[in-house]
Amino acid sequence: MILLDAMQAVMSVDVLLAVVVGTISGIVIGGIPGLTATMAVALLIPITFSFSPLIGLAIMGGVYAGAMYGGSIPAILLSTPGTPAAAATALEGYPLTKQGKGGLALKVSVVASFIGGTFSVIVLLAIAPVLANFALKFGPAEYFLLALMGLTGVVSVATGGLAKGILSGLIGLIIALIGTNPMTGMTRYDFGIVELYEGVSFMPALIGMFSISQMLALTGERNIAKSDVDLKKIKREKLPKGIWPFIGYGTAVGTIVGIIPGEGATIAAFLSYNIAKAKSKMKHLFGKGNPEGIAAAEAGNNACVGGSLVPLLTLGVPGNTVSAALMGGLMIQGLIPGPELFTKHGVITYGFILSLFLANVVFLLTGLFFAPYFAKIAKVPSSILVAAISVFAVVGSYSINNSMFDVWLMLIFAFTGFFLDKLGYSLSAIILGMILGPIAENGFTQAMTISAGDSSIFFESTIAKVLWVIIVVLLAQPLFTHYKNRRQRIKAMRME
Amino acid sequence: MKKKYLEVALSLLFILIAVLLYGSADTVNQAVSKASTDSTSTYVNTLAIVLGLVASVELVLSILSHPTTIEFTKDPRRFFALIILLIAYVWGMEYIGFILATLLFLPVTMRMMGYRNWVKSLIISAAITLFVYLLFQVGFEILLPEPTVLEGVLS
Repeated sequence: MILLDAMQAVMSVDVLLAVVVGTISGIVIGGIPGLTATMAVALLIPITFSFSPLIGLAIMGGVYAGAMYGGSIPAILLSTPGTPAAAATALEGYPLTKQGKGGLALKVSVVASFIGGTFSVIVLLAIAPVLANFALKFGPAEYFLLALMGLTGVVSVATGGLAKGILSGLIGLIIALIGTNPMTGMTRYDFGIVELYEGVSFMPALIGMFSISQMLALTGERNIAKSDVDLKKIKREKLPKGIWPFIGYGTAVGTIVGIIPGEGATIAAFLSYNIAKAKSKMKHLFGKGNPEGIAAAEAGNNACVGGSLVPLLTLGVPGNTVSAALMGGLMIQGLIPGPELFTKHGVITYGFILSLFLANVVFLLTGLFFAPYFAKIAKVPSSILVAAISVFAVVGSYSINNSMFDVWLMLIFAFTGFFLDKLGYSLSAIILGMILGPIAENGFTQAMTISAGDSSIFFESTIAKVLWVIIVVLLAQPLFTHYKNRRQRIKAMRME
Repeated sequence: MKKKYLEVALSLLFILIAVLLYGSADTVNQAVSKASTDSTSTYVNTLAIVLGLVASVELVLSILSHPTTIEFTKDPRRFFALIILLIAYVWGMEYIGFILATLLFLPVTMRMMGYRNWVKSLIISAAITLFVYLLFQVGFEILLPEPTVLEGVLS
C-alpha cells in the first residue's frame, strides 16, 4: 500500500521534473573534471531544503546518479575523468575514442551505468526495509559500535595511512563534542561563542572541505581537460557481443562494495575493472581500448549508488561522503535515518527510492542521445569554474541558517581541509566523524549509564560481537596490505 | 617546504589537544546525575587517550620518515590570491551586501585565474549574480546579506 502511494507521489509532475532537473544537473557537474558527486549534492542541499521532502530528495538522488554516470563522458572523450570514480573508464575509453570508436565507448558506458544503477536500486528496495526492521533490535551499545564501524570503514581506506585515517576520524568526533552535551544539556567547548551552542553545523564543513578546498586545488590547473573532441567524428554504434557478463561482474561488485561502509565508487570501479581484466578472453586489448573494461567499471561505480544508500537509510550510517551529504539533506528535511523512515515516512522514503529508478532512465536517454555534447561542458575554463563555484559555496553555506558565521566556518574548514588533505589526512573521515559523533556519544553514554559503568555491555549481544568482528577486519585490512607490500618490496630489493 | 616537519608539528598539536581534552573532561561534562557525568567523561577521556596514542604513533612515524618536499600548489600566486579574495568577499559582503560584493568578486577572481576578456567576464559575472539572486532571494525567499555600510549615512 505504501509502495503504491509512493509510486503515485513520484508520478506527480513536480517530482518528475525534480528527477529530470536533478539528473541532468548531476551529469553536468559530474562531467566537469574537478567537481565531484559529493560537491554536487553538498552545493544543492541549500537549494533543496526549500522544497517538499520528496522533491528535495528526488533532486539529490538524481544528482547522485547523474554525477556518477556523467564522470564517464569526459573520461572517454577527453581522457579526463569527470569524477575519480571514472578514472578506470578513461583507461579504455580514450583509446577507443582515438580509434574513432568514441560512440561505442559512450554507448557501453551508459548502458552499463544504467544496468548497474538500476540493479543496485532493486537491491536497496528489497533489503532496506528488512534491515531497517532488524535495526529495531539495536540498543545503545550496538548503535555506538555501528557508528564506530561506519567510521572504521572510511578510516581503513584512507590513502595517507591508517594512523592518519584514525586521527582524521578522531578530529571529526572531537569537533562533534562542541556545543550542547546531549546527556546534561550543558554547553561545552564553545569558547563562549553563541553560534556554537548547537554545535558545529556539518553542512558548512562539508561545503568547505569538498568545494572550496577543491577550488584551491584547481588554482594550479590552467586547462582541466587534457584533450579536445571532434563531435562530428562520433558515430552511433551497436553494443559489442559478449559485453553482458562484464556488466554483470561490475553490477555485483559495485552493489556489494557500496553497502560496505567506507568503500566507495572509485574502489568499486577499479575492482570491477580488474575482475574484467582477469576474466576477459581479450586481455591483450586492455589499456588499448577494450569495451569490457568500460562495461565493468561503469556498472561498478553506478551500482554503488543504491548500495551506499542501504546503510544510510536503514541504520543512519553513511557509507561514503556522498551519502553523508545526502544524510545532511535528509536531516534538514526533518527525516532521521532508521526504521521510522520506512514506517512513519514510508511514502517519502519509498518515493525517493523509486525516483532513483527514474533517474537511471533519465541518464540512459540523455546519454544515448546527447552524451557527446556534455563533453563540451568539461571545456569550461577553470577561471570561470573557480569563481562561480566559490559564489555558490558561500551563498549555500549562508542560506542554511541565514548566518555569516556559517560562511566563516565554511572558509575555516576549506583552508584547514586543504592543508590536511595535502598532508595525507582523510577529509571523508573528518566529515563522517562529525556526523557519527553524536550517534557514537549517545550510544556510548546511554550504554554506560544502563550498565552502571560496566564496559562489558559492548561485548554482550550477538549483534555487538558481529560488529566487533567487522571493525577488526576493517582495521586489519590496511595493516595486512601494508605488510604484504613491504614484503614484496624487500623481495624485489633482494632480487636486484 | 619539508612534509616531515609539518607532520611532526601537527602530531604535537594533536597530542596537546589530547592532553587538554583529557584534563577538561570531568569539569566540562558536569551533570546533575553522577552516572551521566561519569559516562560522558569516560567517552571524552577515551577519545583523548586514543587521540594521544595515535598522534604519538604518527609522531614517531613522521620522525622516522625520509624528508620529502611537499608542494601545496603549482601556482602559489593564484592560490594565495584566491584565499585573500575569498576572505575579502565574505568580509565585504557583510558591509556592501551580496550583490555588490559578488559583482566585484567574480570578475576579479576570473581575471586572477587567467581569464583575460574583461567584457565577457563582466557579462558572465552579472549573469551569475542575477541567477543566484533570483534563485535564492526571489525563488527561495532567503534574505541574502544587504549593504550595511550606508545605513548610518542614509538614515
